[in-house]
Amino acid sequence: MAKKKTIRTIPQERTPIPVQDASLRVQNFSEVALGYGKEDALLEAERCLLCPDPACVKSCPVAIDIDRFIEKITEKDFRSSYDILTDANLLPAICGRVCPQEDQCEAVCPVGDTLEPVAIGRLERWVGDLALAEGWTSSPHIEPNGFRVAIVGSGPAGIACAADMAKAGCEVTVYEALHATGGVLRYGIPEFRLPNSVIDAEMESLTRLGVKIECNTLVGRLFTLEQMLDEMGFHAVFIGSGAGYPSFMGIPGESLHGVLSANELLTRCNLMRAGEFPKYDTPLDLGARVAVIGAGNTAMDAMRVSLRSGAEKVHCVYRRTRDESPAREEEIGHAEEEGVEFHWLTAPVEILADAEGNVSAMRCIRMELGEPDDSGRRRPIPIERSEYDFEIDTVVYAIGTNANPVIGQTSKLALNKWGYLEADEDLATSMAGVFAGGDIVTGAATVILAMGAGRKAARSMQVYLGIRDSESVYAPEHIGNEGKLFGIEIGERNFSRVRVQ
Amino acid sequence: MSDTKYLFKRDQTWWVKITVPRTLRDVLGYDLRRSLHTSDLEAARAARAEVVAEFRGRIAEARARKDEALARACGAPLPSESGSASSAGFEITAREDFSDVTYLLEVHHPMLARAAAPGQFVVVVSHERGERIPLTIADFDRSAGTITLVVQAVGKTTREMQERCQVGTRLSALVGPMGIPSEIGKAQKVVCVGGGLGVAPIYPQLRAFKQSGAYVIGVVGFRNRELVFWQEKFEEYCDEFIICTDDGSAGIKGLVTDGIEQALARHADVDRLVAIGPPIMMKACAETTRPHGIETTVSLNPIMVDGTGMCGGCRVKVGDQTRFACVEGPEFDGHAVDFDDLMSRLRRFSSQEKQALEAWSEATAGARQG
Ligand SMILES: Cc1cc2nc3c(=O)[nH]c(=O)nc-3n(C[C@H](O)[C@H](O)[C@H](O)COP(=O)(O)OP(=O)(O)OC[C@H]3O[C@@H](n4cnc5c(N)ncnc54)[C@H](O)[C@@H]3O)c2cc1C
Ligand code: FES
Repeated sequence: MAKKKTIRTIPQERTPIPVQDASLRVQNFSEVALGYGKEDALLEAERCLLCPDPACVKSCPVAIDIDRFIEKITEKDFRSSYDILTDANLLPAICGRVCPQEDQCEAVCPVGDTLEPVAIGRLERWVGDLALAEGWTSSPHIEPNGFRVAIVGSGPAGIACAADMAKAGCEVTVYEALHATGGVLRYGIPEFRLPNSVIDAEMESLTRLGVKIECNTLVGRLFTLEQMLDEMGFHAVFIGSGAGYPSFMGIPGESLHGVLSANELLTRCNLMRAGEFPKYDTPLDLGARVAVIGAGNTAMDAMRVSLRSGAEKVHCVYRRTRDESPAREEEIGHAEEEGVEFHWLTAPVEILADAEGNVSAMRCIRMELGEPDDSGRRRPIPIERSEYDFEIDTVVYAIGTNANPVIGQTSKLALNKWGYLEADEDLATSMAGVFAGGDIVTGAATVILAMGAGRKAARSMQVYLGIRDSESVYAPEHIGNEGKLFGIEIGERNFSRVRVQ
Repeated sequence: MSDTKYLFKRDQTWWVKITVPRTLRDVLGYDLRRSLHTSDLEAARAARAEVVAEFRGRIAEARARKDEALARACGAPLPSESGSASSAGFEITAREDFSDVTYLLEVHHPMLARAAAPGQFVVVVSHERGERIPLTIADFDRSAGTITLVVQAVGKTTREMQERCQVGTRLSALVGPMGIPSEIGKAQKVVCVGGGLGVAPIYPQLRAFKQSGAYVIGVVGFRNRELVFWQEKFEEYCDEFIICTDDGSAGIKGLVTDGIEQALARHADVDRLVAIGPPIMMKACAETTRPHGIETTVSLNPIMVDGTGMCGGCRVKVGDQTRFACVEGPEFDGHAVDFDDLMSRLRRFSSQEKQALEAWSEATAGARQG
């Protein structure tokens, strides 16, 4: 083995990632961060100290063996590096791009105590991209076990669960309400941050595992959960329907022309390609001056999409400060470089209209930070008589989302007081055989947490179905489960399902 | 040349791999593979035959099972397999033109036909570059596995569909049924009102009221006699049926509100009114019943994108609340709806709509000449 690396012997500078120039990129939807080349990746991988008890692995929601995948890069065994990544994370090319690494693995990297932490996310992305380019797949040999599993929603939670259940030998069908897969990855996160081609490739690897994907299917309305478990013959169902329902504030002027949610703006642009109107039929009514309320990832995306869709000036209005912003650090930086004007410690109180009912201005009030609230963040308090108006044509709300109500409306599943699905620590819902995870349980969170939840639910489902040793590639030849549930004929319905601990 | 048929090496170990025929990949995956736990090529060659034979057997078995399943499915399609969203889209099985702007499409989607209830709608994308538009379900035939949509060619998309959507062609996407089904409830005497694009959608509700035992008065409005459609269909489920035309060429001369007045004058005990049509008409209906205190339901048609509650584009004001019509509607209390707000929001894209229509008209005119 090579000599043990120390903080003094590793490359001191974090390898920079090439990015498109800010003045150029605001005119296109091509990816902003271009990604490492092979030399960059090899250099950056050298910065990892390969700690004996790596903190990064513990702070990764899906516990990727980060040190091992990086070690394989230094050994130039990229294929093994990819295999290690995909053991824990089905979608490295996606997560490398969108995870908040600075709050997770990179936050605890000891290199970061004295230097900049190892760029784990960029390395993950590089390996993921390499695998897509090389056409590598880690599809194991799958031994069918006769169980049928349905997944509701093709967002990160749903696809992570689908992959694990398929690998365990189940026949998996994913139902998606929209006409395209991916959930927020597709309709929310824009092309310049996560190219559709990456999502397509990852979906392709899912179908290679034998997963069937049915779009245009609104579960709950086209068929209910009860019907799925009963007439459609599914043995278990996972719900990952997300928290897409956007919030508004209830201030005057919200139904004026030119007020819309970030989800609407992003869906029109990303999913429906309003940027190519009228070649594509979906329009977008974006004015020259856009104000986005909120400073999370959704807000950053809305601002940067606005800049690329013809807005001349984009403002960000947020009632706290930059430090409290939940967005990825990189995205705030990119938005600043692209010329977004940030109004920190500012809250809107009213949207004003011109004579035709179009937005003309926004009235805001300045805030200051008070005592910390329940979330531990300092509570913003309005400063009296500090209102001011500024002229604006479009107002975009990016202040969060609520639970999607459709599943709750159409089933007897227990909901919590905010309308999210009630699930226990195994992610089992109040209905036997039905599991749930991702934003529909936790409220809007992150891609990696949703994926982690999907995988956790998959483990619980396997226990529920009595599938053993699901990780094993070499399942016994015939486990005799076909047409049977716990060894009992499916047709025989005179037994009730029980949950196995 | 060394013989490595079916063999490949990974991490120093030899594996057997057989590619699965395309048609069986949904059951078996892309390929079957197994490690031979050896790094020695000779040993791998020796062990190969057995594994290959076994894999071949599995493929043959899967094929047999699939054929059998296929045969079964042809006789009685499983719910998860019929009417599924194949990339090929959803076939139009019948079409009827009621006038030069109104046309009926029947679309094959057995599961949707089975699930549909009065008051619900679907979202349609007519082709890959199309927009998502909501259309109310005008009828459904569970045995034939079809749903009926009645479309008015008003904008670019609906006019383009008028040209493109012929029998045998396919809609690129069709999803539903969306929205909360109508509350048929225990009303004894009901007036069902349909005008403009609301004439067809009122029909399944009217039928449901009749089937639940209510006395049903149908009131529908058209511009003139030529545009009247479905008269017999309506009459079958109506105790009284009033057609209103602008010029009096059929039924009574006047607006649907005149028809409602007439019905209310004859029946003091009407306990429910349901109206579907342009917002201005629904507003007038609600104003007509307000003094009588009759429970009034209207079906709102704001601009939608996804129809799943994800964008908020469909938000409407009802009382002092903001509601998303696609998941909390589309039906609301007509006396609480802010129609002016709805009408204003419907004009949101009027300039883009015009632009799209002009571009399309030019393109199609060009194509016809060229
Ligand atoms: C604009 C934006 C940017 C973001 N950026 C980041 C980022 O950089 N990093 C990060 O980690 N996180 C980010 N997030 C958050 C992250 O995307 C979400 O937390 C994550 O996608 C949640 O995954 P999910 O699978 O729970 O739900 P979703 O991704 O919301 O997927 C749910 C899917 O279910 C479908 N569905 C809903 N109801 C039904 C039904 N009844 N029947 C069938 N299908 C149904 C929906 O159509 C959707 O496709 C961002 C979110 C947004 C909106
Ligand atoms: S259409 Fe998007 S939320 Fe209703």
